[in-house]
Amino acid sequence: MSDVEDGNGNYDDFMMSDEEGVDMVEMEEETDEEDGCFKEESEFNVTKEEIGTLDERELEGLCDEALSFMEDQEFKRSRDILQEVLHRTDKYKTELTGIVWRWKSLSQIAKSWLSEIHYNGIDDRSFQGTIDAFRALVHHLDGTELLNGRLVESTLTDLVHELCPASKRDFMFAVELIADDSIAWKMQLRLQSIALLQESHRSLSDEVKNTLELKRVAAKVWSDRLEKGRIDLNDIHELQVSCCETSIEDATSDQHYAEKIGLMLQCHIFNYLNGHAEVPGDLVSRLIEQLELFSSNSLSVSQHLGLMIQLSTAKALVMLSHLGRDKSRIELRLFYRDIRTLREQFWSCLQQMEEIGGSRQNFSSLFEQFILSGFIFCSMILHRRTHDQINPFDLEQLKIASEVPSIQLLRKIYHHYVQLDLQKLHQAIQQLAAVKRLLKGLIDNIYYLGRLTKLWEQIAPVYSCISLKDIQNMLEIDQTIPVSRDELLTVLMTSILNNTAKIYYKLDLTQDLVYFGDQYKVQLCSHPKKTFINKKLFTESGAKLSHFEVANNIGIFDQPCSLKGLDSCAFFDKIQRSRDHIEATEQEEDTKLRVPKSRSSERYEELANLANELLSFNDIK
Amino acid sequence: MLEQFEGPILIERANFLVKSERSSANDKRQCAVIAINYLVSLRYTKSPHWRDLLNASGLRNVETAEIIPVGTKKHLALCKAIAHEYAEAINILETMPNESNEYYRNLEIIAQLLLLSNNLKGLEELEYRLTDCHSENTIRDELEAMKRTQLLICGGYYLQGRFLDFCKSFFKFEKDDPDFWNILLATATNRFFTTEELLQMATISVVISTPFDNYGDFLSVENLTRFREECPLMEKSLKLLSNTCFGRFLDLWDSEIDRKCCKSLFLFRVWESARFTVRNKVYFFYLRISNKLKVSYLSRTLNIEETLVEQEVQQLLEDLHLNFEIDGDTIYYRSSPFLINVVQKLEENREVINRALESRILTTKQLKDSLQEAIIENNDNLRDNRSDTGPSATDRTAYRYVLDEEMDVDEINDISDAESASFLSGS
Repeated sequence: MSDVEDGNGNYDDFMMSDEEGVDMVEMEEETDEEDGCFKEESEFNVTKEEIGTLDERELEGLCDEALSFMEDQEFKRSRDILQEVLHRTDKYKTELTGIVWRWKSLSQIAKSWLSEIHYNGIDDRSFQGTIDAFRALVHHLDGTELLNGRLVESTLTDLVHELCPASKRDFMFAVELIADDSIAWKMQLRLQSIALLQESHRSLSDEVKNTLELKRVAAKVWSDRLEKGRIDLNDIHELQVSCCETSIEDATSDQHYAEKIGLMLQCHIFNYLNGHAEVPGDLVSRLIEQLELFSSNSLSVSQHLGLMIQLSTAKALVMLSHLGRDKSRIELRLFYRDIRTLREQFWSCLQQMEEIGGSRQNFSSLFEQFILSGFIFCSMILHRRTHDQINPFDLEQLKIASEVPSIQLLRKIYHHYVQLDLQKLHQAIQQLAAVKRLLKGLIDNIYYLGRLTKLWEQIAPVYSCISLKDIQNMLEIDQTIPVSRDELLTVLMTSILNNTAKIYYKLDLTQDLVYFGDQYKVQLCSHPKKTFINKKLFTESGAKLSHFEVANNIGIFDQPCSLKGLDSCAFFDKIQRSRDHIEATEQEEDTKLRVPKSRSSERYEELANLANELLSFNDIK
Repeated sequence: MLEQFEGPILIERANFLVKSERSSANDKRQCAVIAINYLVSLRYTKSPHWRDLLNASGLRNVETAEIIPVGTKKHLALCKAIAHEYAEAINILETMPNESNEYYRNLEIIAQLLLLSNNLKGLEELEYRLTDCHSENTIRDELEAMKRTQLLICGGYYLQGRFLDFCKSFFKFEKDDPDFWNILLATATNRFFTTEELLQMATISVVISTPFDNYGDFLSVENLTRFREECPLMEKSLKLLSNTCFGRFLDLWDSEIDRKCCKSLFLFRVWESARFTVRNKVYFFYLRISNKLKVSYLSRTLNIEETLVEQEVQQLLEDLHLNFEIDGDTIYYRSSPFLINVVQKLEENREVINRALESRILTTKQLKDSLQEAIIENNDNLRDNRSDTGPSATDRTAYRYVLDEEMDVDEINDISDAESASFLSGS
């Protein structure tokens, strides 16, 4: 969430909760905290008269001075002046005006520390200074009941916002991208400061409490991620549950919803990328669903690049986890459709990474490599599928970094795959140390497809007879991943089933040989289809089955035909039609095989019978 | 286990379970008790299964009642059905005054009775009557009865082993009627086929009637998401098949699906032939892709006993006239099979021809022998006669003729020998 939005959010809240109206509006319009203070203070003009001794004009002057120093980034001097304000109000600690002024200056001191850190970076001194400032603030808050609730809350909200600025570039799963390496320290600071605020006895509105809690969890998660390299999902459990259950109306009115959901996704992405956990598919899918619904309702969310990268990445992860689970590749059409969608997700990440400018275009972080490799692997799988496929390395986003080692490596992998040099492909993939594990599902498919293509494009057309063992050796990717005889047979058999066998083959399973070539296409059944009609078979249970039906069930006459993309009724109707289809198949047989074998066999038999009769007749005579 | 049923179907199912080898003794007794109690409460016990059920139930001193108690016509029909007098029961229902608000409910009972009496042709004919009085204001009960009847008719196809017809009507119903799943999954007490039985029928029918090459296609048929969800076993089976994991598929088929089928009165009826067909389908797939393979290999891969494989493959080859032959352990493709059938006939013909030739040769030889004898005799006579008178001119010509004859006979002999030899080698 951007600064501007946050500001607007606060503004709206003020408007809604504000009864007194005018002065509050002014305060917000000027967006300067201390202006608010003065107006606030004016509520207590009556008491001012009574005390009389506190020169508010002077205090106002001091505060203005402090502010201008702060703007000039002279933080030390601004704090000194604010200390002076504190000093002067020391005697009025129990009076409302004094209390308000002290509150103002304490919060300004905290703010000045935070600005200093923002501009000058964090160090021991500023860290301790900030903590002390927050402690003093909380101490003051707990010491009085008189402070106006709205004032406290708006100050705190503002301070928390200052403490935890939103950034669209910092992903915990791609922390290498953040130039600032003091981020862990800052997270510590956030954690400790928020802890101080949360320790206060002052009862705050739910909204402020929720904001504080969200910021605390975020800081905790970040700090664990940076210091321990590991996120405890228990930390985000509650947030996650509430995120999933939030209705879309509530989500739209919750100014932190995008931040929350982004945080959840980041945690899951981080854990997966770092090998701490599998992607909890159902949960992440639920979050994705929520986020998509949410972003479709809000233009600013849907244009929030950081969040959209998380969305695309999370979607890719869910799809990857499905790829690994279902080994059935037979539904090839669906498989390619999935890979295409997956590639789109990787692609949109790549594009957004560029737009967001987070990447230094050297693809050195794990996250970038993951996205890049994922994109290239999907392109490889689709390589032979789509003929108009452009080489992914020609794309602008990749071309610009063509000298980067990780791109060079991927280019090599792509090349070996296209050349079907499986062993080199494997060796190259092995160099993708961490990414290799993350994309295992895709890599397995690449190996499988590589073998399949090699079998049909480089082996089958060349050999007319070859032993299974030899094919196994040729398809071997690495000694550690041999192709078993069963696997090879399965590949061969499924190729027939899904019609990907490019060349006709027959097996000799007694000697483990494969014969490739159309000449092995033979007639399996010696009788023509029509002779099966009207014959009845009797089963053991006595049921009468049509011989024709049995032959069809077994599939004696099946002509491979595709039944893809049909609905259930059309599916079975087409099967029925292909069963009823007789004349044409036999005509085809005549022309294709030239010898109408099944028919001539009958004729020959008749002829022989005739001769036999004649001969016997002659014999008798 | 029989809670879902009442009427004749209850008795038939109980009887089936009592007689089934798979049921435990305890189950048998329970089923029998339920059935006996039902019959007693009906006050009509003249079921052909009465004695068996009574024995199995272990109940004693149960009074039999063989006279149909007075009641409505429907009740009468029910009793007739229990006594297996189905034709009469149907007759009673058919001749009942046709109250249009019970038309389909009657039709449903008739369909059930036809199924029980295994009159599946009759059941099929009911299909024409399903659209009879269908109108906008048909009441809900009637509509549901009509749809249930539709399912019964589907089941009839299955029981006839017409798996493709089952698939066609079942999936058409599924697609066309938004009420389909409600009807199928209903948990009413008066079930005839159970939900599980129908889904099982669908699984078996899909496996059998879909060609091997199209299992994958079926799995991706888009409008069957619900079906795949409700019927995970079907999805599992087809996935195994389409990935050619035949061994694991047959294991599933012979364990889980077998268990279900053996428990069901109806599934059991065609189960054996379904199993047989599926095994054949797998054998055939192997034949389709190979020139040569071993029975022992099939037995090992498919985990089926070797003798069974051999016997079934042999039968498959014969029944469907496949161009394969089994020789010991090896099943091999038999090349140019189209003359094989003729060979035997030709062989016979050769025999006949050879026999004829032999007899000719024999006759000729005899003739030759007798001629030679005659010549020798004649020469002797000549020698005897020379002293008396020289050979006359006519005798001389006769002699030459005989010699010529002799030459010819030799020639014939040579030729026919050569011919028969070539015939032999030709075969």
